[in-house]
This record gives sequence, structure tokens and C-alpha cells, in this order.
Amino acid sequence: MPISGIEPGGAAAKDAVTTASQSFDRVVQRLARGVRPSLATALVLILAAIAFSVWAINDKGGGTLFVARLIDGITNGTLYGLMALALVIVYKATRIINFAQGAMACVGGYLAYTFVSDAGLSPVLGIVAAIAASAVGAAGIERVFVRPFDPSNHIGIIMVTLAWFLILDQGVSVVWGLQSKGLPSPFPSKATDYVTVFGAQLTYSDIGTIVTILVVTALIGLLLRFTKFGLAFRAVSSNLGSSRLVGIEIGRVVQLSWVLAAAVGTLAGCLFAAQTNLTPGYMDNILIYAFTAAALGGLDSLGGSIIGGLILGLIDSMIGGYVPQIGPGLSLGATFAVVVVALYLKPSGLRGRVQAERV
Amino acid sequence: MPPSSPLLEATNLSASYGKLRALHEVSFSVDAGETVAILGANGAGKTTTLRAICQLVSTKGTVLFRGKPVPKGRPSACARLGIAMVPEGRGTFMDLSVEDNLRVGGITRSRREVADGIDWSMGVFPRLAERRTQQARTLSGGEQQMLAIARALMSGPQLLLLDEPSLGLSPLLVAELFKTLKVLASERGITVLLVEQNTSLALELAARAYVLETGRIVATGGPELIHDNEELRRAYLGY
Amino acid sequence: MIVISEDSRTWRATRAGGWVAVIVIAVFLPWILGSPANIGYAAQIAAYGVAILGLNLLLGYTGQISLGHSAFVGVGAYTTLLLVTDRNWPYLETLPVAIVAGFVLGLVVGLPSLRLGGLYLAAVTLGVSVVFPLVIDRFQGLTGGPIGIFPSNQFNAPSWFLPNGNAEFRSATAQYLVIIVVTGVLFLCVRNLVRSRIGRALVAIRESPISAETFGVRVGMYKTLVFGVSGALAGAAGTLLMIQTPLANDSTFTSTMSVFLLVSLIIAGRGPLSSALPGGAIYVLLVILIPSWITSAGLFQNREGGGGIAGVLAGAALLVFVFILPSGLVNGLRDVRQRYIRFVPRAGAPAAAGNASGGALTSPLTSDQSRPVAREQDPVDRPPMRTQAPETLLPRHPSPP
Repeated sequence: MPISGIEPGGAAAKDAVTTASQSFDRVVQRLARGVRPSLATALVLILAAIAFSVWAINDKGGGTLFVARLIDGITNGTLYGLMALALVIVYKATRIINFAQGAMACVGGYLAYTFVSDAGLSPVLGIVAAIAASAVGAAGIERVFVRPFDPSNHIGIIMVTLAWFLILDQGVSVVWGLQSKGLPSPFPSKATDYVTVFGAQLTYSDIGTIVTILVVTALIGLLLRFTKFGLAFRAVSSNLGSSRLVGIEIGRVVQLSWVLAAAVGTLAGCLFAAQTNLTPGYMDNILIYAFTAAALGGLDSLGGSIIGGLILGLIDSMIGGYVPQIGPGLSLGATFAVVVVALYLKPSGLRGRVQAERV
Repeated sequence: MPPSSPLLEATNLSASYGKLRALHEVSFSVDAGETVAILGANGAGKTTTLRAICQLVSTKGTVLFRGKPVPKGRPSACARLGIAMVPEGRGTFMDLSVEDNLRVGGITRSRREVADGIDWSMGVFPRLAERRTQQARTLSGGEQQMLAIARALMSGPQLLLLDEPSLGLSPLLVAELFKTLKVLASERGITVLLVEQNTSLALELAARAYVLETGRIVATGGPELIHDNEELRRAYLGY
Repeated sequence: MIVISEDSRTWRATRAGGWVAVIVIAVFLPWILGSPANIGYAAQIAAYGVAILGLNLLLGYTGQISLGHSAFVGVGAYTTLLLVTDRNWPYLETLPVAIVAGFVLGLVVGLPSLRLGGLYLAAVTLGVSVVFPLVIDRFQGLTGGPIGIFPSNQFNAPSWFLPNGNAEFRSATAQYLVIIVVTGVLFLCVRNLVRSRIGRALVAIRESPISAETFGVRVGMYKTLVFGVSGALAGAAGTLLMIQTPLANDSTFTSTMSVFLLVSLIIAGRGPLSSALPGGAIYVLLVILIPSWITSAGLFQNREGGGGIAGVLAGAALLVFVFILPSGLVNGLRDVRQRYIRFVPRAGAPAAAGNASGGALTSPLTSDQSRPVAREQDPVDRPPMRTQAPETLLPRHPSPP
């Protein structure tokens, strides 16, 4: 993961501590208004985070480094959250985890590369074209390979997603080769394109990524609340049988959710590729992060996936940065372990709803 | 469609769950504007009958609605045809608000019709108006039942299928519910096909009834026929 | 249609004959095959078969999807390599240690299964197999990271074995024979496990965990134990693979291997124990043989990523099977066989394991016998992961009189 540039500055540390204490005040005010059990846990965690921040700033390299890692965590976190959003969209409509989502996003990234380098499109147009192409592809996969299944035949559909994972994941290397490729960023990314925050570099690319993701998430939220499709989607997610009775065509809703998820996934794949490089399977690990983020936020909560992604990105960046025993390579493992423990304690995730099983 | 032919007509209708036959070639009909009840003990096939009309189970035989056969294997077509069903257990959309539940009910209709429908529902069921923006899962059983009926009516149906509406409700609520149903049926001219275990209540509402036993119709007639026939009541209705 | 009763002479003769034939062929296979390379492939089929046997216990018997199997195989393999290289242990003696290591890791990974259901568990196990190579890299000093461990000695034939034979053939055959003996022993153990009360409890768990719980089966404990046993088998498979070829590095045991193992199991058919060896064969075919055939045939020679075609083919094969033969090859063959020869159980005894299939993986193209034939069904809540507020008999707010 790229670390933004760092500039020395002691004043930055003081600023960071001020911010921390301001948030602490806000937390205390919240406390005064009354606490629900889950809020209590959240408060404990926030306090722990604040303590960690103070320790990191004072003992481990100063405020600038801390802010730099914070920026990294937020940028990567929103990307994980976006990918998690794709997983949650499909999950809500079908109760299936699409194990091929990462591979589909990977193909999307490579498609954008092809559009940019072979067809000469600008990066933005290339990404848009890739999104359109993956949408069509996803619609086709759903129609041909998923629709024939009884919606309750989860294992069958999961096998289909695993099959497509193999086909797409390995197919990428067949079509595009093993050498890594570069996707130019859609945001201005010269060496001088950044602003300084508490001494750390916040590149335009970072800002652009975060803003894009937040805007997309908001748009999807609006889509689900105010459109007919959104209502149908929420209905199917809530009660499949009654949705049929009311006249909703389940197949179409599921297909459109696959399309939406593929578009979101491809966007994530392209934004990731703009930061790192395109190599076959580059989204495989991201899928794990994304699922972890989704599970943390509650698989049936769209907002939860972004929040989960942010938390995950921060944990990843902080643990990977400040705990040398773990180091950046293993931070995926550590983050993952953290979430598994969290899930163990609260299986429905931060904002999910407890699911009961029918006997 | 000639006025004398029934709104709903089932001929030699059979239904199976896999290899298990639940309905054996039953035939029945419902005229426009009527309220007809399907009675019988548990497991007699009452719910299956309603499901068979909506194509939620595999069927053999014909079901004619307004003279035309109901398309097989496509339950989501029923709402557009004019058939609405309130399933056993209400089928409430728990995660949606009361208002959204109603909106979903009218998802096949135009925006104006949906708005009118919601206004009407709020008028007829003031309790729902009070809880308009609340999540449906916070409603009591009786309120959910009203919501379910209002939701079904949002699609502007000509035939309303009700599966055990009294289940889980207190006697007071049930009485209120059936009073409302009676008024609705007569006011809006909706045809109702009602599955009920509470025989006496059903017979107050219905002009006619069919009695089912293990997937076959064993008796049919008006309320007096069934009330006065002690053998029938003992054998099939349990009282 | 031939009907054979299970306690008839014909039945016993057929079974005995079958076993004898299998054992004879297995033992003399090296001489039948001839080339050390092919013998090596046969040995690998057996080793991967053991791994798939473990996976089958999870998927076919308790219905849990595990995408983390490569980590267990890897644990066994690295245990063997480390003991052989650093401590000079003989290969075979590392087997019990690898089994224990796999068992322990299996238990640890299986713990979340106490609380998390199917999809969560699948994703958690996928995470495990993604993290495993990272852990290998993290402890490079011990494991050799990307370079791996090279023991100075491989598993060699004892001096009394085929003293006059060609050296390569000798060692390949010795390795092969040791591997199939271990495989056979493990098979027998698992078979006995499955036929015991424990096995029946597992089937109950697969079919309906909640009902099983009410019958006194401690579902959580069994599910975790099965993870342990499955891990133990995979660990053993790791050792066997090292006996065949002592080579491993950080990209040997990846999530791709886990997925391929699962795919091989599905194609072979989950449920019956006898699908383990065909599963191993399918794995070797997909991962080793087909890529080498492609390379030697010169296809994709200009394309550096051509090896990926094996994965594409595997995915395509999985799709074909899921739609056409979802219960897998072994079950499919069994169904065909049942049309011509049927084994009838003794009066009062349950049918032999041969007639049971492992749970419903239904193709959308054929109708499933236990569900309504209509593709859309059940207007009430979609099973199994939904909840409705409990219906109250008393209203929350008493209505006005």
C-alpha cells in the first residue's frame, strides 16, 4: 500500500492531539444523552482508539506520520468499503455471497486499461466504458447461469460463482498476460498534486477517490430510497415470497442488483488499479478485505459496509504501520483476525440484524 | 365476459409438493362480489388451494380468472391480473416502514393510484396512519394483519385471497377485523376467498363455503347447511 | 434389472472380488504404468485424494463449505519439511506430527463455525487460505519464504526393496506404495468413523442442525471436531505430498488450491467416501496434467499467462457439472448402475452406504424431488436466514372496547 509523502513538523502533533480531545468532548456529550449497549462497546473502542493515537503520536514517530497513516487508512478503507458495497448489494437481493465479485472487478480494471491504452480513451472515459461493459457482462451471467436456479439453492449458486471466479481470475492472465500493467489515474496525479494536512501529503488522487466513493454511496442510497427499483430491491431483500405476491419480477430485480454490484465493483477495481498496478489476481486479497468489511458492518447493511471498510482500512494501516512484528505483509492477517473475533462476539456485525433460522 | 360466469373457476385442480399430492382434482367457483370460505381441519389443503390459484405450487387442471386461464408457474403475474393474496402469517415486509409496505403493495400501479391508495388505507385504518413511518416489525399482530390487508388492496384487485386472517389475534381484534372485511367487501365490491379455521366467524362473513378434507371437497353449501348439519361439523370441522 | 440382496452369496462374492481386484491393481500399478513420472502422478492422486477425503467430511457430511483446505495441507507439508531438514527425522515418522498439526489448525479454524453460518464460514475459511502464504512469508527465516525448503534427502526406497531395479523406478515405486498404504489406512479409519454413531450424528447435522440439537447432538462440538479431523487428513496429505516430492514454497499452498480442491470434490461428487480418489484424479488432471499437456503441445506458447487456461477449463467444467450432473460423477455413475443392478438391504438393516447420496445439490435443469416442482415457491419467508417478529397471541395495545 502506498504511503503518502511525509513532511517533518512538530506543530502537527499538537494539532492532532487537539483534534483528539475535541472528539473526546463530543463523545462525552453523547454519553450524557444516554447509552445503548452497542453504543457502550463503540465508546470503549473509541476510547481505545484515542489512547492508541496518543501513544502513536507521542512515542512512535510524531503526528505527521500518524496523519499520513490516517490518510492511507481512510483512502484504502473507502476502497474496501466500496468493494464491500458490491458484495452487500448482491447479498441483500439474493442471500448469496458472490465469490466472483473480486475477479469481476479485476476484469473491469483490465478492460479499462484496454480502453485507455488500445482505444485511446481518457482514463475517465475508459473507466466509464469498463463499468458499462461489466454491467452488461454481469447481466448476462445472472440471466444465463444464476436465474435458472431456485433462489433457495444457495450451494448451487455459490458453485456457479466459484466457477466464474476461476474462469475470470485465471482467464485474465490468459488474455492479458502476466506482466503488470498501469492504469493512469482519472485524477490529477503529478508529483505536485497534493495538499498538506498536519504535515502529511493528501494527494488529489486520495481526495478524488474518497469523494467519488462517498458520492457513489450516497447516490446508491438515494436510488434505493426514492426509486421504484429501490423499493422493489428492498422488498425482495426483506421478504421474497411477499414480493412475488405483490407482483415484483424477482428475476429482474436480481439481475439489476448484479448489474449494480458489477458497476460498483469495477469502479473499485479501477480506482485500486490507479493506485497500484494491474496484475492478474490483484483483487483477490481485496475480496477478503471487502468481505471482512461487509461482515463487520453487517452483511445486510449498505451503510455498514462503508463504515466497516473505513474501520478496516484504519486498523490495517495502523497495525501494519505501528506494530513492526506484524508489518505490512501480515496486516491482512491481523485485520482479518480482529474481525473474526468481532464476528464471534456479535455474529450479525455492527449494524446487521440477527438472522434466525427456520427449522 | 357474460355476467353469469364466475369470476374464479377451478376445474379438476390438483396440486403437489414434489411427490406429495395435496389437492385431488377439486372444482369450485366464486362469483363476482361473493365472499366464499374454504373450511376444514389442519392439513386439509386449504392453504394449498390458495397457493394453487396463485401458481405457487405445481398444479394440474385449470384455473380460470375472468374467463381466462391463470398463466402457469408465474406467481408474480397474479397481482397484475387482479388477484391479491394475504398469506398465512401476513407476509409483512418487516424491514420496510408501514408506508413503504403499502407502496410495495401498489408497485404495479401508477403513482397517482398509489397515493390515492395510501390515503384511503390511512383513512380506513387509523392505527396505520399513526404508525406511518414506523418499521413494520414494530407493529402488533393485529396491526400487521390490517397492514397486510391494506397492502393487498393497494394493487386494486378484484379477487382477494385471505389465508387464516384470524390466526394469532385476540377475539376482540378478530371481531373488529371481520367487521372491517365485511364493510370492505360490500363497499368496494371485492370478491373474497377466505381460508379460515375459525368456522363460525367465517360463516358470518361468507355466503357460501367449501369444506375440504385431505385434499378433496367433501361438502359445500350456505351457512345454514353447514350449521345445521351436525354430522358434517363433527366429522370435518371439529365441533 | 438385476436385484441382489445384501446378504446373498452373490453380494458377498461381488464385494470380496471387488476389494481383491482393487488391492491387486493398486499394488501392481507401478509395473503396469512403467514410467516413474506416471507412478508419481498416481501417488499424487492418492495424496490429494486423502485431502479431498477430509474436505468431503466437511462438505458432504456436515454441509460446511471450507475454502481454506490448502492451509491444512500446507501445515502438514511444512511440518514434514522442517522436521526432515532441521531435525533429520525420517519422513514417515513426521506423519503423526503432521496429522496432529493439521488437527489442531482445523480445530482453531473450525471454532468460528460454532457461531457463524454457512456463507460467513466459507468466507472466513477463504481468508485463512489467503493468509497462509502471507504467514509463510512472514516467517521466512523458518520457512524459506518464496524460495522454500530443500531437504537434502528425499524419501528413498530401503535397500532391501527391489535391489536390482532402476533407481528412479525404485524410489518412485517405494514412495507410491508407502503413500497408498497410508491412504488405505486413513480411508479405513474414516469409513469406520462414518459408520459409527458419530457418522450418523454428522448426517443429522447436515440435514437439519436445529433438529439435531434437539435430539441431543451437540452440534457445535461435532462441527468443530469435523474441522479438526478434516484438517488432520489434509495434514497427512501434506506429508504424503512431501514424500512424493519434497518441495514447497510460499506459492504452493494458496487459495487457488483450496478452490480447485473444492471444485474437484464437487465434480467427483460430494457425499460418498468413494469420491475421494476420483476427486484426487480430477485435481491432478486439472492442476498438473492439463497444464503440462498444454505446454508440451505448444499451445499458448507465445502467451506467458497460458497456464491460466487450466483454471478457465476447471471453471467451465464446474459450470457444466453444476447444471448437468450436480451430484457429481460418482453419484451419477451410481444412479446409472442402479438402473441395471440394484442392491437390496437385508430386512431390518439400513441400506449400505452405497445407496445413500450426500445431500441435495440440485441442478436447476432437473426437478428436485423434495421440493415443489414450481420454480417459484413458498410465499412465506424465504428460508433459512430470515426472521419475522414472533406472532403474539395478545395484542400489544388492547383495542378500545
